Amino acid sequence: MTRRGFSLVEMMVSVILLCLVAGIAIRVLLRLNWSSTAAGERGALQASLRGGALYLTGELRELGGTPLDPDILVFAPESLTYRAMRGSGVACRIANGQVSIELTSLTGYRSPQPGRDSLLLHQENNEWAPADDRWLHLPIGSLSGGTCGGSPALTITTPFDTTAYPLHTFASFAPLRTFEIMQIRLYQSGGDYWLGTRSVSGGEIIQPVIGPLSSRGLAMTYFDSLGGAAVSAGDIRSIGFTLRGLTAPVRTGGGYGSAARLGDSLLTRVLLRNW
Amino acid sequence: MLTLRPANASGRLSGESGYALPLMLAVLALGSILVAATFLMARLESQSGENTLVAARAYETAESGLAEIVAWWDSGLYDTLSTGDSVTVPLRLLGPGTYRGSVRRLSRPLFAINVVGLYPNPPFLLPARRGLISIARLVGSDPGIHAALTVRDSLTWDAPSWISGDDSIPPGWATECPGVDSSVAAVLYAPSVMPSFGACAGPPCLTGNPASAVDSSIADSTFLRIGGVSYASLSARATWSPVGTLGPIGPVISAAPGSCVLTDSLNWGEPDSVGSTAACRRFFPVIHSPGDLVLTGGRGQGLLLVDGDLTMGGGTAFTGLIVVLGTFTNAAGGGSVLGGVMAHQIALADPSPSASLKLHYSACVLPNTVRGSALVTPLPYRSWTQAF
Repeated sequence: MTRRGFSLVEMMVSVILLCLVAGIAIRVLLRLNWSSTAAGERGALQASLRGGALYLTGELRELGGTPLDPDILVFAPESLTYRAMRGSGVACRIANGQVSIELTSLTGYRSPQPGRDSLLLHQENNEWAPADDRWLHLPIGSLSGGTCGGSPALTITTPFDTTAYPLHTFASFAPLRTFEIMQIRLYQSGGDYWLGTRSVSGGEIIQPVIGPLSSRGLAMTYFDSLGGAAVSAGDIRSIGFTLRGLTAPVRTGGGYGSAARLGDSLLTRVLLRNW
Repeated sequence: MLTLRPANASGRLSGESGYALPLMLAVLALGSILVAATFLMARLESQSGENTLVAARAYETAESGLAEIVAWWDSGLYDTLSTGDSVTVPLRLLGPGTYRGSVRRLSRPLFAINVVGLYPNPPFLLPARRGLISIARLVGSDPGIHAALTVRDSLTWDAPSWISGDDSIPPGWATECPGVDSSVAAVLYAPSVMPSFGACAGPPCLTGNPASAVDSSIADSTFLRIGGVSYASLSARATWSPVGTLGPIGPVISAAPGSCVLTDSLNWGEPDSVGSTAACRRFFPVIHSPGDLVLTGGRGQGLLLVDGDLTMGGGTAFTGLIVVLGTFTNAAGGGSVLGGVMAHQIALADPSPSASLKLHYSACVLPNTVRGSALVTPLPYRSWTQAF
């Protein structure tokens, strides 16, 4: 009886070949995996930076104010405290102690929040003299419903005094805005740096927006109307900011050593729209 | 137990399978999954970037829409809105994007412009959408005219035509004119003018405080800047540009729904605030005649600028400010002006009583009619807001 099988040499050759193929395959797979992970991390970092830039642009673009009453309150390269606009509408009724907002005109990021938000109410004064226009600051006490000339309205309790501010100095439908005081800054937590934000008027603690960032992860530059460095908050007409982010540790290329963090940055500039 | 095949054995093994092929297939499948995952991630990144770009374009479309509405301010439509009322801005194309919106009047000078910018986003059915609001205001100032008649070069006047510098409020203007102001001069003229009043030396033909006076500040430039806006700018923004003989002028109302027809060049608004034509009450056109103009009757209001001569006859009644760079004269039927007249020359061509001219100063009419032609600009501070 003839029994067929592998010779020892064939067996050894096949094992060696298998090892070679497996080694190459594993190496290729590992590289593919590292490369894919690195690409994913880099993509996530770029998306994160882009999200951060969009957040800052949306938040800062609406700033402005008047030269003597700018919305930027404190500014530094790594932090900024400002009045963040949260809503706008028109006042359909103004009386002692209260202002009613026409609900159909109310739009914005969110509804007014008592204690946390404040009101800016446009005072026209001489209606044909733009130079005497001003925006009154009023705290928001409590909110209630109601109507205003037949339309649904949101009535805000606020220490408004018609003696100090006669009603005829306001438009029939006076523009108004709601805002809260916010702070954005670079901060360190858990060994990493983050772009954080907090509501100063709401008494919040800092919360991360994006990260991790490098130790120089947020750099803001403030420009005046001529493009020079702004000296005071009332001079600031645009803000340039650079975000420098880091990925989680990844192996890249053909490296078999320790993993490293990849970095990327995004530079943009926001023109403050309300000057 | 391993069975070895003899070295001289020949032929292929049958009924036994190897593992190289499945192994390679598995390796290939795993590799493909990794490549596909990488590709998908790149695709998501690309789509995310595309979405950001489209959103930015929708935002820019809304911004451009705001700018267009202000730049092409339809004063005939928007300035005639009552406070609290709004009008829709129909969908307009702006490159591949579109915008639509509304304009609402908040007070006499204040308007809220609400614009939604739309930009197509091909992978999705709905376009990208961004909303913006801007508060705009009419900017116009008091024309600074303190006489019923201001003359630069020559003045020949006579009874029974008369001029009054006593402040007057037109009927139905109580909202715009809360009270009577003090009297001003009936006539102010430049130092070079040698006036001739004929039989109209004083009251009741010439009344005012004073009846007439020299004003050394009157110069050519006085006629070229009205209410802070240049004569050329106002002319360029003219609602109507008639030349020759025109009339009768008067408010024009559509049959239904009874709105003011702003496409009829004989419609110079309604100064009298009467029932059926009240829809034209807030229509203050700027009328610029690049040559001579003869008015043969009717009524109107606004700002009338005449590069040449103006002849008023047929009982024409005008409420507002008239600026004549040539000669202002009369014709059969005469006419009246409530507000103010500025003219380089005044010469009454027809001395008959039926052709008499009546010029009556109104402190309130002048700024209101000039403001009717005011420019629109965004509020100086905090005019702009994002709508959600």
